Amino acid sequence: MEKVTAKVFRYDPSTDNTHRYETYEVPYEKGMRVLGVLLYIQENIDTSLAFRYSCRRKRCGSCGVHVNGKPRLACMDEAKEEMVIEPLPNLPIVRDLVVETTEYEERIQSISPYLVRKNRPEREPEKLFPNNFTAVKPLNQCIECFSCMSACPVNGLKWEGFSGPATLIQLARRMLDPRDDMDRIPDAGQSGFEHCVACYACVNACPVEIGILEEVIDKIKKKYIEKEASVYGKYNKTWGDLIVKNGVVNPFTLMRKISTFDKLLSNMLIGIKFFLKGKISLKSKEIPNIDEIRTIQKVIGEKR
Amino acid sequence: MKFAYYPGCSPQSTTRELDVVTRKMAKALEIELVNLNGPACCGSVEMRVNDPDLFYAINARTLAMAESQGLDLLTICNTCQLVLAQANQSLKKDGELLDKINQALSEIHVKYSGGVEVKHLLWILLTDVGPERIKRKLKFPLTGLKVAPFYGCHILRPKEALGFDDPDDPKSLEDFIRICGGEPVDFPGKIKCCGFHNLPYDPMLAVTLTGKYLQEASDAGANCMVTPCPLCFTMLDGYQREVNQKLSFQVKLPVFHLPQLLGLAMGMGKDELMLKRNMVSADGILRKIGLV
Repeated sequence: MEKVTAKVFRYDPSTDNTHRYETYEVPYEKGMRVLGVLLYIQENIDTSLAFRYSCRRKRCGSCGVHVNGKPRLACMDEAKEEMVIEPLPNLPIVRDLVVETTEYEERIQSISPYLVRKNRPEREPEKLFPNNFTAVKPLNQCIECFSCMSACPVNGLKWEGFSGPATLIQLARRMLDPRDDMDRIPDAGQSGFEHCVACYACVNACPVEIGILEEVIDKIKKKYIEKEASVYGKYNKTWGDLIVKNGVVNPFTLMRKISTFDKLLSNMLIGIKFFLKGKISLKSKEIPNIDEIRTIQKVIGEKR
Repeated sequence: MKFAYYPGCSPQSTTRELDVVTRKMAKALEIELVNLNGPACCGSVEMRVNDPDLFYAINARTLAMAESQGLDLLTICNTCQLVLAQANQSLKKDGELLDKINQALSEIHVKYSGGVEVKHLLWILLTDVGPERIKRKLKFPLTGLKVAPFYGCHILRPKEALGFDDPDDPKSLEDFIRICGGEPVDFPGKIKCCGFHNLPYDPMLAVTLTGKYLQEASDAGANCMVTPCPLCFTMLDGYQREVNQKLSFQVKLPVFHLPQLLGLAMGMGKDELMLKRNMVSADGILRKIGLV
């Protein structure tokens, strides 16, 4: 590869009616990153190109952009022969690749993203044991680049009540910290965690490889459903109960058990259509050796 | 070629046609599917939240069933694929966890040693069976048929547990469509989420997500869609009318399970492929390609 052809999103809301793309050719250097391409354009071709960056080493999280439609950190992503570079979607554009992240920052601020302690530690410096922080440690790596927010399909819909994966990371950091004394359950309830569709798009996008689903959202779900009754909690519990009862989950039984009467009524039409196509079995089947599942559950329950 | 067969919950109820047609297609391709003795539900993305030990134990039990036959496990559902692969990966990596789970399983005289691979039907068709062997069985290549591939999430992400395709730029489903003689249609939503897992308690979200991708595929000129996941299928096919009603769309896109599309190219009939169970009629497509 001798040169990089970068098609870059350009837009200045103060002067332009709409956005445009401009194509730049940049000489390639071995190991070149997307940020290197942007810096070359700004220094040698068009000084008006706006983009954010700071640390150049995956620490500050300020250079998040979309490269060929995928969220990437410009400082880490390797330059490709042909690239389309765009701002992170779903956010207001300040200029070109610079987006206004205040909305996301406010969402994070709304969950009190700091340690809340009732009392000072018994002695200072406080004695901390690494084993108490295994759940929190990976979450501390979050650099708030908002790549996860950009990749999340639910956040993309601006779904009401869903605070998005970056907010949930900050919430879990405090919920899982043994030093924190604040009751985080109300914030968890407000976070809209139950709207997560478990698609792993955030996990795939995270440049610091946080297991946002298992290490963050699953843990918030678990803590929440232990404390509060919710539709999601009922759904989750029913799923497990049906496996122990029958070995398999009959979707009709699941819906019947978790739905209120009016919900069942609103699903009546599609239910009838499914029934007429033979897609609904009213009676749950049981796997032949269901006793094995019940025995395993009993043994595990006793060892807990 | 022989695999332990894991149908999962959906193909034993809502999408029964997928189970039946998979078995027919496997027979035609000389893949022997060995039934297991009562494998349980994989627990989906729910059971691990609340009861991780039981989650590992029921999946280790299923994996041990395949292991006792000396076979790898074939799945036909994306979520079953991911969940079983993740459980398998953790059990293989973490000796302490494996010991703990095997202790519980010893009560039912079962032991898992970590000797099984979990493979989705799509991957088996492309690698173990291979394009040439499939092509030799085709009687009616789907020439001129524009097929939108809908991967769904849990066959792509997270890459660490699956690793077959590049999650950002997958090729397998397009390759499969080309093997069947069809023309893959590209659209942004092909790697996105249908929202199925939220359907029971958050239906409007699932319908909105599904609608977005159906509309994109339709706008891209697709005649039909294929998906390797029965859960995505339930949203894309079963809820298509809901999508049109609730979002004021006018999409009419027949959706096929993987073996249904291949079955068409292999010359299987409408009844044999149980196409009557699909909510969106495929008759227009069959006429277009001259199968009716």
